[in-house]
Amino acid sequence: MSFQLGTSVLDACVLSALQRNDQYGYSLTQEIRNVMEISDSTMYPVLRRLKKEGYVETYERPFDGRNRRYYTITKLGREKFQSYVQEWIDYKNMMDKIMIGGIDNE
Amino acid sequence: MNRTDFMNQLEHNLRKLPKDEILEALQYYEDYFDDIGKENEKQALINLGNPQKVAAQIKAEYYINTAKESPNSVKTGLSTIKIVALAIFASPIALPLAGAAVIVAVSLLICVFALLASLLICGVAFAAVGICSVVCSVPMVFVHFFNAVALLGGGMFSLGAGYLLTIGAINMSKLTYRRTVKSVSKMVKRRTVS
Repeated sequence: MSFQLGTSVLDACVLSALQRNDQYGYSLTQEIRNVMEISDSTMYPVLRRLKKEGYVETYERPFDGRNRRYYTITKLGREKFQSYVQEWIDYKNMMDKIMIGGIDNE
Repeated sequence: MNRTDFMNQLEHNLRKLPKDEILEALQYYEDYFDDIGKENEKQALINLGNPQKVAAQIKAEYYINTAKESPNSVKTGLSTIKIVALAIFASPIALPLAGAAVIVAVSLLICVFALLASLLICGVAFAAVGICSVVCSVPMVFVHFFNAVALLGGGMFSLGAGYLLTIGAINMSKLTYRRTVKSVSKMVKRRTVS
């Protein structure tokens, strides 16, 4: 894709994926890969930041004879996600207006 | 390089971070390798790339976060510059930017030295004119006394101005040179330490 999306879009996508269900790092990377190009090393810093800001939490579950770390969204994270959705809608409408033109005939 | 090498190098490159930060990051990548499976390990290592780069991303994120938490301390103010530099060097897109910054710094330095060199040349020229004037004024005393005195005075003025300019330019160059060497070596030292 020729459009460069900033960190906030990535944050929003991660929160969006997590509000559907809890995930571990690898599955989350794969899911985000469906919608944008990210490298294998991109996800950890994002998750670390979201955790520090209190939007996600981690817990461990045994899997295949080891402990796998899962990420889950917090209440604060859900609120943040809602505000991201609202901002995204506003942004999308604005971009539509400019790029597709006159949708609202304003 | 295999998984163990990658993890060791990652740990080594993260050693400046607090213990829990290191453990958290290492566990993430241990999980990552476990989840990706033994058969995909080679491809994962290629995708991840240089562990130094992976570590730099983690460090950049950590330092930006810490800087945000305590924006008032002088120390973070200083390290914010380091973080920005680190972030630039860590990101492949911004790498040309770092190169440009170095070129700008070097050309600025060249400008300063060129300016000082021209000051020095001016000083020497003034001094030369002064010496000639003073020497010429001596035989002139017997021909045009007042003209000779005027020439002598002018010559001495020129000599003095030239002397001051020359000394000034030399001292300024020395100072600039010493400062540059000092700051460059400091930067180099810091890079090799960290």
